[in-house]
Amino acid sequence: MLEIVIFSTLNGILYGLLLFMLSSGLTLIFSMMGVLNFAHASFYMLGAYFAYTMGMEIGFWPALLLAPILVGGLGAMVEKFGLRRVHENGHVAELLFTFGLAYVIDELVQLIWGTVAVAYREPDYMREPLFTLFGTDYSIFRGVVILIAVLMFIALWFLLKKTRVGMMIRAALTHGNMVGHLGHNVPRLFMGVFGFGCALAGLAGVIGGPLMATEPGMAVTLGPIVFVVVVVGGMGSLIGAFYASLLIGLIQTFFVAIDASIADILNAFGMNVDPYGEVTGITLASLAPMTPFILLVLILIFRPRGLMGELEP
Amino acid sequence: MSALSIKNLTKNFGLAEVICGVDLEVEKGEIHAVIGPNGAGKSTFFNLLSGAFPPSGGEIRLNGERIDSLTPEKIQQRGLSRSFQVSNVFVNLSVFENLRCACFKTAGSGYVFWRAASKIKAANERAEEVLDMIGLQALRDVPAGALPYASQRALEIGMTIACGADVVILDEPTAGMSNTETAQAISLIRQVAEGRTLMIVEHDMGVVFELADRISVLVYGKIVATGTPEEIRNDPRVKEAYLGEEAA
Amino acid sequence: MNDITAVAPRQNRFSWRALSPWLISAAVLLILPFVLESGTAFTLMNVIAVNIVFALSYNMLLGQGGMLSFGHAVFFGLGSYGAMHAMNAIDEASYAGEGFWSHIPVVSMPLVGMIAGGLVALLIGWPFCRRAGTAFAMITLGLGEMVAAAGQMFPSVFGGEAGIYGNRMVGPQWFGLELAQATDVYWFMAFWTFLAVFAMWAFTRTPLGRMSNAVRDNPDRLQFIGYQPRNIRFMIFIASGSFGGLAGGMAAVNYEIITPEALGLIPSGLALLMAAVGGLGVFYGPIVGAIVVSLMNSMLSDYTEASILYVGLVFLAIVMFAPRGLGGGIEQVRVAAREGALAKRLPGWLTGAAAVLLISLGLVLLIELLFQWRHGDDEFAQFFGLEFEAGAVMSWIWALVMFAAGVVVMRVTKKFREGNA
Repeated sequence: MLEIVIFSTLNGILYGLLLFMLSSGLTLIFSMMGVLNFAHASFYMLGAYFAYTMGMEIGFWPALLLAPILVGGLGAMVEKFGLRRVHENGHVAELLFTFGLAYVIDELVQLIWGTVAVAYREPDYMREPLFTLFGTDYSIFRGVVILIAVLMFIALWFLLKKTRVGMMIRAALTHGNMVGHLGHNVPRLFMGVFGFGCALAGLAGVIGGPLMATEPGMAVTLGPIVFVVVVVGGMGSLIGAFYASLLIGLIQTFFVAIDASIADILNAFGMNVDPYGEVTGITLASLAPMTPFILLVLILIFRPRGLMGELEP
Repeated sequence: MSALSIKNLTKNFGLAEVICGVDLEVEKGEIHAVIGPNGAGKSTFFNLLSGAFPPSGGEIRLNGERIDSLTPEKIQQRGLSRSFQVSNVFVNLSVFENLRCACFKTAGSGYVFWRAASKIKAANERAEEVLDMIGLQALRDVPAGALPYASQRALEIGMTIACGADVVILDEPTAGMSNTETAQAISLIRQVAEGRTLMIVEHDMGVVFELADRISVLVYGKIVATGTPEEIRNDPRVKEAYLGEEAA
Repeated sequence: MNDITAVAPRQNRFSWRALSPWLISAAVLLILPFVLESGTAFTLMNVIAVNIVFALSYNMLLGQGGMLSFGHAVFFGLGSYGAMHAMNAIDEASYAGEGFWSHIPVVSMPLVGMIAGGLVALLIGWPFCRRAGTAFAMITLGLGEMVAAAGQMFPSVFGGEAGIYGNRMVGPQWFGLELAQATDVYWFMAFWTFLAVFAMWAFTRTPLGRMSNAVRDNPDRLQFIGYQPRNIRFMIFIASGSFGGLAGGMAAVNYEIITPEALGLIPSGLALLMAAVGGLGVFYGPIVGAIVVSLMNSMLSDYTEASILYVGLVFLAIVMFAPRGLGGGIEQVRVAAREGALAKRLPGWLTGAAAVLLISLGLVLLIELLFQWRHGDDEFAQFFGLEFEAGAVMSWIWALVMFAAGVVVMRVTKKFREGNA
């Protein structure tokens, strides 16, 4: 029991941190530009695939550095030649554009790398256990992932709080229009922020790929969950995204780990329910994929501005 | 009974007191103008009247009934209608359709989906009437977003009266108009005023003095003077508010 | 006082011009089975019919109501499931020879789907409709994913991964339709498609239909003419869900199987795709979009492995360069024709089309080469009957040349379009 709790907590935090890496980029882009980047998870996928391909030639650590830069550069190009053109047609058009972009990126990935998962793995030496608890290993790689994620937050925090660019971004987080009126080169800022957000997603892909399988469906699986994080946390709030990521990461991981069915729970309270019925036989584990969306719908009904948000979406 | 009775109206946004105790009685059938220097709170005042947000204190009565805690559409249903300073029309619908949309509710077919819109006699006839009144028949099929500015303002007024309200508040109806356009707007507003009570916010003093039966002056969230145009023209407090102490 | 009759609204006058699209469509529907011969053509027609109704029902929300939804497949899927269960009930009841369901013909399944879809929208829609825009889009995304996940969980309702299947040749047979071959099914489809399209068109002419446009254009103003935007949105939601369910009912009869996949993000995305490609701003836009996308999906896969990619690229191109869609383009031509400006605009349009053609050819060759290079069994990319060797540099150069030529033509002929705009 304790084993389940400890490992679920560790894995839940891991998953939550990964979600935060993804949702932080999305939050930045949304706050700055008002665009909900539907293709965000696709850039995550590109990060994984790029790292896989590059890693075979140059090794894991160089790929860790280069792949996000490549993805970020691609994002900047997308903003400059694609999004900017659509911007004047309104928010719906922008959403449609990013939606189509996600579609196209997914198909291109299948075209280039095939429809089957590729064997993107962490280097062998990182598969050794960092520590062993109750007979289960916790690999070095997982520890590295947590480390990289934490380093990323510190860097992000530093960027936002201590640099001029960061100040502009923070201003834009709550008052997007004003930044342009203050005389900053808004198109360049947009391009930079979009590229940076995508680079963050790419970084998440580099370390998430070995964890969660690198296959063409990874964007479609993770994408909606990232949106849930952003909305639940409160659109425009990085801290909210952080809390929401951990919350969702932990809930989903715990649900997967608990194999109890609804009947089991009800019976534990003294009721006598048929454990094989269709409704009562549903296990928490099978509910796990749904939990982020249940949370989303509840939040949007009862507290639309999210946990920490100030603006209603 | 006055058409609009406002007693001790206040509105705070956080620590900022924008409306600081307004008392005003608008008589039935009169044209009552509200003037005041920029930042006096005129827009906020109108927003309070039309229900865009609730007051922090005081009460507003429309024909004797309290409306200060009601939502905009309830206030509109009770007979108070407003126009907007920035034209707030349905840009993709034609001029005629815009007017007709404003008429469905009063014709009793607000949510009808089993009859064609063109068959709702009451709404169509009323829309035609208003279209005629505002003089836009030639532009009836033009999408509202493509109208020239003055026509949009006329449509704006048209939509405000189409739904049959008897108390109408107009928010800077002649803003941005040339002299000819303003003259046309004045005659339209006079037409609109027949049989209705009108409250106008305006900056153009010519319009105000020509149209208004009575004028109230709003300065820093309070009414400093109310009276006929002559009285206001000669009131020292008003001169002070607009021109500073020296001129008074 | 002007004579009101002198300015009578155009809609009241009976005109052949207004009726002609309906007559022509009806004629086409009637003639089609005698023109087509192969079974596959009929199958394709039936798929297109379902998609037309599906895409139009989606546009009630987006194009007319201004509400972007990522969960529309929920209504389609649940409508389909409802119809499927009804068909099975008919099967059992007819076998037993008695019961309520033994009197219901399979041809009425779209109505069952409509009721199911409408009911779902009625029950769950109220909390969603408070806001439009991004919030609405997100909440429908969550809803869609939730229902899709739930679809894997209740086997008696959803049949698990394999889904539920049915038999359309059961129960009382009306109009002599056995529904055995694709031709029989075609008449069933044609009837329901025509009816559904007409109903949705008629809806746009009602006060509620007009108000849905108003709530799209300016929801704030609505309160000041006596409406709560939320009420209007809710009613549109129900209407759209009903017709989505109707399409689902049609699908149940056509495919005789329904799986939980039909509830998820992919079919919802397809509705969006078809409506946007066809044009959100014109009523018939989604019809055009449904036809084009269905044709692409079905026919392209015979010639290339990358058919889905092409559909996505077309969608992207339209969003970026022709945001009013194919329908918007058709309207432009129609308006120009009516104003007599056609001769003036045509050179610009034709040269633009030529440029687009060149660019597309270049891109297509590029993608085909890419595919052959990565996955091809033989080394040649098939390109409109010509073979290009994926290993040869020349092939790639051809692709780039075509692409560049198209861009050049576009630039050079730009003045034709701008001068005459």
